[in-house]
Amino acid sequence: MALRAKFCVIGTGAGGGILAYRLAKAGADVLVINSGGIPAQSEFQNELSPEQKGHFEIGPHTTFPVRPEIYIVHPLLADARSRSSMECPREGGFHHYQIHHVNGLQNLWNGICLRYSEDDFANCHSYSEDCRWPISLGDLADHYSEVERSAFVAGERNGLRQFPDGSFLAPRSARQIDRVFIDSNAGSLGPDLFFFENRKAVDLRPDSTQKCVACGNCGRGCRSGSVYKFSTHLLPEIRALRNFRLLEHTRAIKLTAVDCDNAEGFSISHVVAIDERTARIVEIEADVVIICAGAIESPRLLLNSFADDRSKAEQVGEFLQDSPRAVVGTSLFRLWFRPANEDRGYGDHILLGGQIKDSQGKRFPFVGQFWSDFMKVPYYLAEMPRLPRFLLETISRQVFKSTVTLVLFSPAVPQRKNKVVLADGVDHFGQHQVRIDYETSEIEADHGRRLAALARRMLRKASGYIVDDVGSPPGSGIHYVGTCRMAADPKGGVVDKDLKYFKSKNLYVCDGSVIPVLSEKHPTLTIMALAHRLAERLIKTYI
Amino acid sequence: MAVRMGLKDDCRIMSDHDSLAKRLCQVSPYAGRIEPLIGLIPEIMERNDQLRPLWTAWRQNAPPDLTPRQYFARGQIKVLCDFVEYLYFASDAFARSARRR
Repeated sequence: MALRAKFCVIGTGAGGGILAYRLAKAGADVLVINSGGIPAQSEFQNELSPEQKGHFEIGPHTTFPVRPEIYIVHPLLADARSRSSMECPREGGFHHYQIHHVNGLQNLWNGICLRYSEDDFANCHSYSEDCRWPISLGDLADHYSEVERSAFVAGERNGLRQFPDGSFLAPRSARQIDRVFIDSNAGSLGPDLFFFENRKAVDLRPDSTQKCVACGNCGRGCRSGSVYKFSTHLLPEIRALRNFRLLEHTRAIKLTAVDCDNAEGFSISHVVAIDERTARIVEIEADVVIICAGAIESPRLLLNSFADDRSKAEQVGEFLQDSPRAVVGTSLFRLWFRPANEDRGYGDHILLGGQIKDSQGKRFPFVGQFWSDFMKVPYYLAEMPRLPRFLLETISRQVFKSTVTLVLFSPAVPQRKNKVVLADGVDHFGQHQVRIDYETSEIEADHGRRLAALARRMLRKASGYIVDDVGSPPGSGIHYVGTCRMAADPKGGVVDKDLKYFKSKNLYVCDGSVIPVLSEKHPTLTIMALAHRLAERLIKTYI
Repeated sequence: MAVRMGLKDDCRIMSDHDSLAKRLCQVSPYAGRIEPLIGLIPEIMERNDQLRPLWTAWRQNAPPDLTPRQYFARGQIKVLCDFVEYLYFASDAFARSARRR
């Protein structure tokens, strides 16, 4: 099958969704292809009925007693493993999460929206001279605002330099469990540590059909459709447009390049894709191709396409980064024997931010989220001593409703040796998978230890009786960036400051892979703002 | 006719599996609490690497007059107890009771 379009967008995650929407609304001829289909809202059953999940999240590799690091976050992730972009990771290796559906990993996004700061764009906390932002906050400020408005980001304006304010709706009020944590720690916060209301892309408008139902399980996929997703927020508006087409279950497997006569490098003449249901090849001819497949799949597509001419994919796949993090959980004793507070709000309602010192005395920034929801997996049973049955039940009830988790993120340390490379193995479409070489640096490990110690201290102050350090293997931050990093010149990266591939005249990349330096903040809002900015540029240039 | 026979056979097999699963769960004091979930247990055990051998052994070889505690070794009994306990605490029945109190 042969198709033709002005713009071909590959992928519908944080970048692709915004980009496709803006181009379609501007009247451009847009063809979007995506591996997998649109997930039904019934995929996201957040209420407490594990029976509906079928197997109580017991997977093939679950061991008893159940340990927290084993359980599967969502069946969509488990389903994706059979079609993974990467070879089966070795023990302790990089764990790549991937969802083969429209929206990609954003299906399970909990909606946290944090702008990068002036300091982030000025590379103040960068640990590598090879990775530098070529743009400033001023270049993205308007685009941040546009995205915040269209995703209904709620939050408070706090005037914090580290976390710039945006265009916010009024946030939800704090819960009982938040108050216990804040009040216990407020007295001991130094000038460099602060709490603030979470900034989330969650629809709180009372008249909205998608308004938040406060189940508290945002991170498992929103069942009411209130957390921003391309398929629920933007797609319905453009689906009927004659200039917009979405090919579901269609995976890009190769880009066909044609060398240009002048110094502009090469141009992409076709995108070769495969229909995942029929195995039929689809050839798409496009004037402009934009890859938005994520920081692992995008380099995989580029490396596969240019396997015979590596000069076309120089630096692609290098400097893979993921957020180093500390995850510490506990049960707050002060909430025991109180009536359960049914309002779980966002689940992670409060953010904690600031700077602390590493073991060398050097300050580094961090951000944390204080999370409380009704847990689905009673992994705490593994930690319980053998208790009489009546006592086990009583304690389990209290632990169930008072469990909280503190997740703290620090900046990544970009390293050239952390990279995505083509592997020998192929997926079931015959496309080469990738291998991920990844080592956590000493600095990141040190930051992780300091953050874990801080989290333990804060949770104990809030009456945490057993503090359980969950551990955080590489890849579990699910903030993958850096593999097609943007730079001021071709020596410094893969795409320019307008996200155009340096070596090509009609190829763009727009996803997490273009972010050159991962700060402590969640990168999703920045990816969306970059996509909005690129859409404006493309509209100006081509329409 | 063949389809009808097949369905009939499936029903009988499922019913046998249910009663086997019910006997297996007697290993734990939580057996009574998970009775509504008994029908799911064969499938769950089949797809789990740690539980599959136990289920296969029980299904194929367990004499009808032996209880799981008489048939399995100590370590295997512990795994089965942890599994049944997990099912109860992951169930809606437990979650509802925990939210009420």
